[in-house]
Amino acid sequence: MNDIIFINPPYEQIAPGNDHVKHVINRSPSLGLLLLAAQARKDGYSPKIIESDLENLSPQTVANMVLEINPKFVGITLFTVGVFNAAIIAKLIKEKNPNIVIMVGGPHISSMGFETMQKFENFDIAALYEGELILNKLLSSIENNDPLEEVQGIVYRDENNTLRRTPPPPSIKDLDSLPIPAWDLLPNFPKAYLPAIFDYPRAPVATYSASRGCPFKCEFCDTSTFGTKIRYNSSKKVHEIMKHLSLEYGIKHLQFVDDLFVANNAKVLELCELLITDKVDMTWSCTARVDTVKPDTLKKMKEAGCWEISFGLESGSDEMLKNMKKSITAEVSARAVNWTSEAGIRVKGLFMLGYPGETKESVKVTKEFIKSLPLTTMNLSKFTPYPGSQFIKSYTEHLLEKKIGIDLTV
Amino acid sequence: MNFVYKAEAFTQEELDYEYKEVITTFYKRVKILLHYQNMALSNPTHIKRLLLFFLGFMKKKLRT
Repeated sequence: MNDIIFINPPYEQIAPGNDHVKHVINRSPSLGLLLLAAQARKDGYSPKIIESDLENLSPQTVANMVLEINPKFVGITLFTVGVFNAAIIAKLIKEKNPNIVIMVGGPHISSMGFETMQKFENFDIAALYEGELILNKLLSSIENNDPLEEVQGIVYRDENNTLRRTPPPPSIKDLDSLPIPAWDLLPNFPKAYLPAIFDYPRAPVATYSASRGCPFKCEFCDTSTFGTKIRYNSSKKVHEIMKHLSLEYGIKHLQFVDDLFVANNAKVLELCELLITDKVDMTWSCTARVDTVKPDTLKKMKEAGCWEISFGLESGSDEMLKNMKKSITAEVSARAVNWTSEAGIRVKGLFMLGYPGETKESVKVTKEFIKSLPLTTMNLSKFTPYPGSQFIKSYTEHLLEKKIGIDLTV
Repeated sequence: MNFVYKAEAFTQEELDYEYKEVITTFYKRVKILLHYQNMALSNPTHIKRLLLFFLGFMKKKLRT
């Protein structure tokens, strides 16, 4: 019997009447939940994972599944787009069985844990930052009736139903100490889990993060969960994971979903050497900044199976890049894209439209910039202020000065 | 729910228009279209997903 259920709630990502879009969008599982489930299993629990969207489950169905299994704990991972549905699931569970402890975590909680707990009373505990270390201490404290104030990195309700926040935990220094993600707990893995169409050269596909954290200070980005200090898996561990995925599940392509995979060229080169000498039949894609890649590294990455690199280019206008505190220029972006293309690696450019200061002229510059680059593919998003980003902090202060309230909990 | 920031120089409609313009400027180029056609033909999962997408899209069109 499962004593803990991890839930990725349904997201409000497809406009009503456009269900056909689900066939082409990203259908990858939550890597965070896979790691938490693996950690829970290592700590002696029997976890289950529910991927609501990927299994086409409504909040009602998810709540019914939980009630039928009747676990001690439920852990819900939250991006901002999932908060309402998560709150519905929690309410439906609590109405029938108030004894099930409902914990929430994930990026939205790391940046707005306290406010979210204030707004949604059916969430019992919020785990901020990296959940793997918090989980063990939290579960054992609840089971042994130990005071929760001794668990670092949480927001909880005390006996008077007052919200309390504990100090942040130290970050996980040795990423190699984390267990292998529990892919075996996913129903029909890997067949049922594909990234967005054209985002992979061959299937089956898996995702993995070989590092955590990003030291750069782009104003639109939220680094609340993993922080600004980069920590890495050893190359040996990454190679071991790739071999495991290949042998156990027949994975043919791996997407590295790190905030910044190419942060340290020496680390990347070390992994490439391993992949060249002890070959794994797997292509891979990753993220990089335009000012961290070097031509020699790119050539080696290609040799080691790198298929595509995603660069956050954001804009072709230096003024806009400056506004975003991106610490790059369009010239540096163009140079990196050209180097990558020359190395034979596909280039995906990630762009943003409508950032404060954007004008019709800057959009025109970006359009010309895009046309001038040897990009294989591009993504464009309209600027969405993330809770936890420096932008939203400054903007909220600006609004408060003007005595305008803004509710960022949802 | 996320919300989208609207830069001062644009109305919502202008921002939507520019968004579509930038996307089509890139994706309507012959080089890019050929690339995607080749990718679709080289991987059966892409073809299957495209077919399901267009089937759903046509159903929606017929309904409306």
